[in-house]
Amino acid sequence: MAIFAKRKRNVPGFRVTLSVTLFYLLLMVIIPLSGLIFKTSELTWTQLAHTLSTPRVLAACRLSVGAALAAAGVNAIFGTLLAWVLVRYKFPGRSLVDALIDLPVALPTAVAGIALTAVYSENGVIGRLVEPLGWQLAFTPVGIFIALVFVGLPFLVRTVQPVLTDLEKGLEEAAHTLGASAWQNFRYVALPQLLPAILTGSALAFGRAVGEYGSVIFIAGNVPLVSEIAPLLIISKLEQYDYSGATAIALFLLGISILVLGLINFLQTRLQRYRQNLV
Amino acid sequence: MQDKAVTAKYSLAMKDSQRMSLARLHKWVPALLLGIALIYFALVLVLPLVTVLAEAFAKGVPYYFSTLLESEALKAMQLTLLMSLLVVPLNAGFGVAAAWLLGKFRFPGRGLIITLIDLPFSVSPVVAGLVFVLLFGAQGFFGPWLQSHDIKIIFALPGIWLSSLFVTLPFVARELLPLLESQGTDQEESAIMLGASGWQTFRFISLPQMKWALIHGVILCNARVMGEFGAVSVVSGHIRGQTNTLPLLVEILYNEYQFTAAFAAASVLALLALVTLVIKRIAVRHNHG
Amino acid sequence: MKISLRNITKAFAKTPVLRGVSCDIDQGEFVTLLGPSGCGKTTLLRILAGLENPDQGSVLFDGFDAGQWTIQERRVGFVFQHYALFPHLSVYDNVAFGLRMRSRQQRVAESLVKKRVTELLQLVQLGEFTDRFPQQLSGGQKQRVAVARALAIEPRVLLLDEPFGALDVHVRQELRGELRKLQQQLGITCLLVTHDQDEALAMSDRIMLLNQGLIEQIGSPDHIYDNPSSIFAMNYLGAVNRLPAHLLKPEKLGTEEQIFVRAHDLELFPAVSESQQAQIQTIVPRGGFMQLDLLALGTLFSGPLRAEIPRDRWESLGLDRGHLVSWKIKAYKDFQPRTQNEPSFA
Repeated sequence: MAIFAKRKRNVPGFRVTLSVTLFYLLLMVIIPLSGLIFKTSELTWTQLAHTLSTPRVLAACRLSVGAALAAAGVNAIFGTLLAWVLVRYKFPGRSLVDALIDLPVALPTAVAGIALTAVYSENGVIGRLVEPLGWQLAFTPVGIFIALVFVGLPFLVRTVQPVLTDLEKGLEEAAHTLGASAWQNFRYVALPQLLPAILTGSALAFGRAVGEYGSVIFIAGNVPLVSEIAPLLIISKLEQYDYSGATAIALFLLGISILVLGLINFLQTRLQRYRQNLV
Repeated sequence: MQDKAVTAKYSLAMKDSQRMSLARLHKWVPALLLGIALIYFALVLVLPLVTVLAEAFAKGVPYYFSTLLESEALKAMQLTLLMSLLVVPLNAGFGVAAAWLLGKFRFPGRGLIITLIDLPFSVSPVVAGLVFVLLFGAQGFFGPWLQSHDIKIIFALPGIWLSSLFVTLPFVARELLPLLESQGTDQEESAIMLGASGWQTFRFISLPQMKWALIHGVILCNARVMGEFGAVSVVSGHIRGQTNTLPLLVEILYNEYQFTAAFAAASVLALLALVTLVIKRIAVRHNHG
Repeated sequence: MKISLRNITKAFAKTPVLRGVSCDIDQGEFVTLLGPSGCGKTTLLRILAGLENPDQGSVLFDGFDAGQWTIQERRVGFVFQHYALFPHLSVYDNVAFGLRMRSRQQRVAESLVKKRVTELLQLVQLGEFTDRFPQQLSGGQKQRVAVARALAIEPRVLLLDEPFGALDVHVRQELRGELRKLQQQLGITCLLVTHDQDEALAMSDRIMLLNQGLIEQIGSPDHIYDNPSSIFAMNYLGAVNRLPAHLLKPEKLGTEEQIFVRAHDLELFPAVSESQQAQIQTIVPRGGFMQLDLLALGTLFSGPLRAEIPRDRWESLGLDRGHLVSWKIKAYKDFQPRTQNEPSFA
């Protein structure tokens, strides 16, 4: 506490904001999460391992993580492309497109869920197109993947856009005068500078997608071992009063969240450092 | 002899025909990229949005309005609104305090506080709901005590309130922090030197400059509160007419195959989302102006 | 009102920044805090303002220990390097800010506020700009607003932290003159931090030269220039040549002693065989005088020399790069070795 007392602070409000922040965080974050930890302590390692290794749980976790990874990957490519197009090109309706990028963040997940189902089910606009080919999109893992693409898109575009905007035009012009083609320019000059942002955006999208519930629950088949996502399994276990089981899976998801959070913080410090160099 | 070979190897000169066809290709590249990007955009974002509205009005306009005016729907809207009023001001107040603390001061433990604030944002909403069930549910930590005092948190409004508070906690703080960090402390020091008290400095100098970032954070927080589904789903018990928020109502109607009604309710939320985006656009423009 | 600094000592994270600074400043004086970066001058200014607390020592206003007061009670005017104008307030509201904040406790009528603000803006020649906003002003104009704003609260002393650093040369010189005139007109005590010796020489009643947290020398510009108390002081205010002492005092031959000659104290004349000679290496025209780098070629001394001679003298010599020229020492200083911590006052 001495450190907090000695420093002279001319900006007002240190003690007030510190107390308010700590109090609120204690009440709203630390205590609730410790409820989880508390429940965890009731589990033994063997119980935990047992729950997590049942086929159904394994399948659900694998599906959640796998679909999230795939969706993040697709968004990494097309999200970057969208960001590129929004920053570099002028076209009619650009403002509108830019504003709508945030739709998945502003739209309630349940609304997104039923809307996506309507589009990709057999009678839906897209579903109808691929039905003759024998493909089924809704109610399969593919449907889950599509929903997670929807959910993750803004994270990539919004993380890459500012970096792209700040890119020194001069570097690409210099490369151009030195004889680089447009592709080489992108590949060797722009892309390396964008990479931290793309990775951060992908990490954010992945983190969000792994635990996503509302957008996915309608379009997923929810068939155990095939198209059941981890969050749904948690709810199922809760309804059966299997609190330990639910907690075990929750811990797995929480662990992934913390890992991703750590990764993002690491990438963002690198991103910060890089952006400062650009200026 | 060797010179010629070397020159040939490193020569950047292209044959004229090669150069011309490449140039033609180059002209089309931007258009191609634009096309692909816009198709992706339309497929992923626009299509679902349009579908909500199309399905909502599938049975005609009168049906649309009669669905929304049913008591269940009205109660759901009321509850959603109530939650918003109870959550957003609290998280906004916290957000200002936390962003101020983290943006204007340096102290040991600062990084930890930032991580704690980010945590609700990165946790699955179902896990968020579970956490409160583990705390206040019948078999939870406080379960027995609550039961003996006949207080209901889970499967009742307080539970919805608390889980919404948890899930939207970071929004305002995250919006304000970069702004406060980049502003530095010169202006506050200046105001203090001119004789303003701490509170006057905050009220007349700092707060006005936070205005648009604050608005931005508040509407994002609001959108998330009104649309929260996963956490509330776990905590509410889906008791019709009592603990159903609008998103939960959408789910119930959908699961009962009342598709049009479900989409009608969803359209209200979609409209809210669009309004959020518009306000966000205005706020962002003011921030940069 | 007299300001006294008594043994101000301050360290940041184990690095000492000020190591016991003491001096007295009289009402109406214009004192410049001059020194290289890291010498502690900005820290000293901030301690005076109350923005930092000294680890040891005290600041006295007319004998009262200002450490007992809050920053607001000190009533010190501060002009920041980057102005720190409030971007959401107009020029008028910026200048009125200090008066309005006080009025909550001391009820200054709005009409009085208006009178004072208008007066001040006239004083800094911005009378027409009352409704503009900071983003619409040039650097020089912003600086004037910052000064007017600081003066509005009738401060005991006006402190300026490198106020002209971000401005271009002409604006800087113009504002320098105006600030000095204003200060004399109002009779207000003024402390200005700068690393630019020309600025210090042009504006000050006294210069406080700081080096590594201690006062190297304090005195009027003329005094420090003509009677520097140390090599550092001499070097800081102008280019100095270090030459062996035996050039002028043959008895010193064999010793390591040096004498110090200012660049303009070297006299140049057409080469004659019996004198010290040097070859002209570089010629830099600097307005009214020429700055020359020479290479001395002599038995008594050989090495680089820096000379500054008036332009008309140079033209009458009619020389160019590579030519030989004879040189002579017009005046010099020698310094007795002295202990590190001895400041000198004048």
